[in-house]
Amino acid sequence: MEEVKTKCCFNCMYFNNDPEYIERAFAGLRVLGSGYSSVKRDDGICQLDDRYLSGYNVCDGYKERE
Amino acid sequence: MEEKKAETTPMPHSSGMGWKELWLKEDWWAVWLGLGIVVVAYFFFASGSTIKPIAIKPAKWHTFAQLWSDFISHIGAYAANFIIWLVIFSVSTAILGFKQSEFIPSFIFVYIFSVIIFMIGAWDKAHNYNLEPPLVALALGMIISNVFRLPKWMDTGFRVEYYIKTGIVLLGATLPFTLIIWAGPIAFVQATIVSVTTFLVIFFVGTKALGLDKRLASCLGAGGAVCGVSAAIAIGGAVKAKKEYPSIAITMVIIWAIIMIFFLPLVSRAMGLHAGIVGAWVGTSEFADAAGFAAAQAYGTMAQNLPNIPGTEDAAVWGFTLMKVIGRDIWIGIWAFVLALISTMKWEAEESGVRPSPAEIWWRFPKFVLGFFAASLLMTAISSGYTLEAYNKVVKPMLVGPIKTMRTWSFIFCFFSIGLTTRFRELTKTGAKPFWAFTAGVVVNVILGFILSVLVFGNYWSSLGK
Repeated sequence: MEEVKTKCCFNCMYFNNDPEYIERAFAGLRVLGSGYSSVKRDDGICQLDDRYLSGYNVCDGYKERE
Repeated sequence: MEEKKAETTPMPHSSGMGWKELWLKEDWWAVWLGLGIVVVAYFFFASGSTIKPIAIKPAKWHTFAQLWSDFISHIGAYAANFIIWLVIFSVSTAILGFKQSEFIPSFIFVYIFSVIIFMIGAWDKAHNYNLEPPLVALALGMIISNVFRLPKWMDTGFRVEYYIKTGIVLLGATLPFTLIIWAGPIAFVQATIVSVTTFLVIFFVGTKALGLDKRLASCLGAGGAVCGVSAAIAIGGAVKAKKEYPSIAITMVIIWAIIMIFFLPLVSRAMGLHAGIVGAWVGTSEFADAAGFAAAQAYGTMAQNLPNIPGTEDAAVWGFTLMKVIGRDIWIGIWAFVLALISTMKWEAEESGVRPSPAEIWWRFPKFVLGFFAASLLMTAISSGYTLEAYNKVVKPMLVGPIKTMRTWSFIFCFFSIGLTTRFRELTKTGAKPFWAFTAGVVVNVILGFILSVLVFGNYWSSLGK
């Protein structure tokens, strides 16, 4: 039976919350912060909408990651 | 809607990491390492021994001959100290996903310079020239990173937040839990007054006077009022900020935090303020834990070594910790939850977002603070079995003292890394309006922090460390 993925940013091809990617994306984050911190939780960047948000969101532009 | 090709990057998490964060977040590793050092130190102590030999630090020196002689006679201890730090940090960062071919050589670089910085601080004339280790570490790091271009891969070892969080857990072991109970409520009241006022100043100056987007103003406000860069990205994610908003807030926090590392201790020294009062002032008016500890530690060392500055090093560091960690840091989850609610219910034109859950308050809680509390509780429980005389004669030199030295190492790694990662040419340009909104908050924050720390609660904070 094919796995049905929850429709949310986590499973969207445009969303990336990899900590290393986040640290490269936000200049200066490493100076006094970290992409591996608890306060960041699982937030990531939506490359479609150019926003930084929680992976539990969803929008009309959702496209499931292969 | 025009389709955008997603950037090819490592596969991100396909769902929230949940409890995997126990080994995938720096906060939790700071807890494991910090508490691990405290527990090992206690086991050695309980068996009649001590970790003091490998919790090495340079002795006070006057001539280079003395410095060299001390170093050579303890070179085995320095080697053991280095190996312990290298093993615990490399194992944990490997599990976090860092390339060890990058981390290990980078950490060796950090350690070598940390030894030099520690030695400079041990010079008997250092304090006459403001050569406190945190300030030297920061300045040296900034010179190296801005004048010489280090290879990018070395950033892997410059883990500011990881080192400071580990240090804060170790700090817990040297801060009595009874002090947290006694002083915590006052710290909370003072910190809340300043935090809420600062946030509202930045938010309303930003939105009403300067026409900034509410989400940008929120990131700036959180960065200036709560806990700096960490708050900027936490609130950025909570309010679904445009990608450049957290970057702008990060730049503002870094610029002002670096300025305050030097400004607050030097102004306080000119005024001869008590170390406990300055700790509290730094705790309300610095923007990030790492920067704040640099300022508080610098002033604490001045107080310890200069006769015209009242108070102790402990008073400065405790005052800062109570104000910043307990008064501000632990509430970030609540700020994120409230702002996420406001963003979802009031600011969004269409309800495409998910309503935030109160669980945000736990998941965004800075978990290293749990380690701080645990270390404090553990050490307080151990110490309660000793008289004050026995504590000062035995526990302090054989158990608490070595843990404090290990904390100092972790802090120096952090302060040097701040300097090494502060590359002004790489920071996001902010524009004038965000700069002035944030700066309005800085001015109010510093003045209000001074009034509360010095004038209103001054007697209270000056009794710390007695």
